[in-house]
Amino acid sequence: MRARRLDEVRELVASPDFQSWWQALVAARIALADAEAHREELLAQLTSMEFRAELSQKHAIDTLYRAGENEDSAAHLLAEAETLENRSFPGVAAFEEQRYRVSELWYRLGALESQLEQAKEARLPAPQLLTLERQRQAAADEYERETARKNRLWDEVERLWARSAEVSLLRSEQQLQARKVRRDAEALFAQAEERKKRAHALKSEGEAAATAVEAAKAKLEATRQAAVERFGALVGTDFLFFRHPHDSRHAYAVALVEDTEHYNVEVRPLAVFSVEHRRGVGFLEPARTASPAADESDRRFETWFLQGRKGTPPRSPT
Amino acid sequence: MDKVALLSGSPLFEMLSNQELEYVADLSRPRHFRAGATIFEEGELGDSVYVIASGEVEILRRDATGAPHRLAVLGPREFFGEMSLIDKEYRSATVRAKTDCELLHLTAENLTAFRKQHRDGFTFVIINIARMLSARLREANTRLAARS
Repeated sequence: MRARRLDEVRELVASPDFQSWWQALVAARIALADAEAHREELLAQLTSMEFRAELSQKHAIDTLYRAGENEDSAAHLLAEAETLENRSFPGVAAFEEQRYRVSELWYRLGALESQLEQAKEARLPAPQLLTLERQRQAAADEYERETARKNRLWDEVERLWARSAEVSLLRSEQQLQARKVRRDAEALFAQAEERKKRAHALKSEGEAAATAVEAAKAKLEATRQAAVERFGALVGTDFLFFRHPHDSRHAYAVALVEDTEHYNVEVRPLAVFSVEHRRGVGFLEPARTASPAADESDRRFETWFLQGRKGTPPRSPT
Repeated sequence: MDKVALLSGSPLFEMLSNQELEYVADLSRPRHFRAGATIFEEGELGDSVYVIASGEVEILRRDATGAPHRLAVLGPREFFGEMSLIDKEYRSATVRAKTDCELLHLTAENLTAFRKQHRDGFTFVIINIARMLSARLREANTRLAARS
């Protein structure tokens, strides 16, 4: 660390050589900040993309399960429809048999009614007419009973067919749903793959950005260290230091940053401070050329203490 | 912020030369407080003085029950915190930002650096603080006399 007087430090800071070094340092810092920001952005994008790829994959698997459930449901419904259809066959057979029986009864009832009409015209005795009337009534009752049974059998067949039709409709919908959901799952798998590829590309970009950050750091460090050779300074992170030529306990520090928070004074770039060796930048004093401790020609005290009174006289003695 | 212009208008730095004002400006640190923020609390250790650049602060002191009472409102160029600087006692009141505030902060250590460089200027800062305290004492005397 070279010794310099304060005026030499100020001259150096104002010199074109120093200013060009300073511009290079600022440019290197900006380049590093940009490179770091780019890397951070890529890392954020990579993390997000990996997460989204995983999410797509999970959704795809869930959707595939859902397609499987739809297919199972369609198969169950198909089986149910077939069962209903099978159950309807004996129903139809029973109905046909009953229809034949009812038809027979109808003919029998017709014959009895005709026989009764002929007996009435022939004026057969009342007991015979009564017997014929009872036979006709019995046949009519049986016809009615068996017709009702025939209708019930047909209703049952129709109910089975209706239920079978409903189940078939639901089955077809479930089949279609299964195909649709399976296509959704395939699209999600494709999306997950696409995102994985994008994440992979981002990872490569991130690695390149990390290399760029390292290069920017190296450039900044080289620029900073150039101040040792070019100006004989001790190079810190936020300051350059020069030894005080006549006071081994003090040094001058040239600020390389702007900082209003962390030091005892407001630090502006290229401001020069005086620092004591032990405390260093823990206590910064704005550098000034030494001034006489008490200037005897300073007339302010005389003006203040000896010339007249400033205030108005009190109303009562105090 | 033009620190020198601000400080030259503050009663704390009355009679200081331009050179001295520039040095005090370099030693001061700007601080920003949002409306309602506490700058310091009554009873805290304090070794710094603040000059108001913009906005207003209110000086609050707790009564026997602990309830805060407003003693004063200070505005641009006025200063506060000087009592702890002189008597090294704890803060005698709480100061809170009444509006958003820009302040200049000067620690005792920074004023010591000022003393090393400008002894006469430092003496005037102390005189200015003494004038302010004297004015307050006169005011208190007047109030006491009015009560009796």
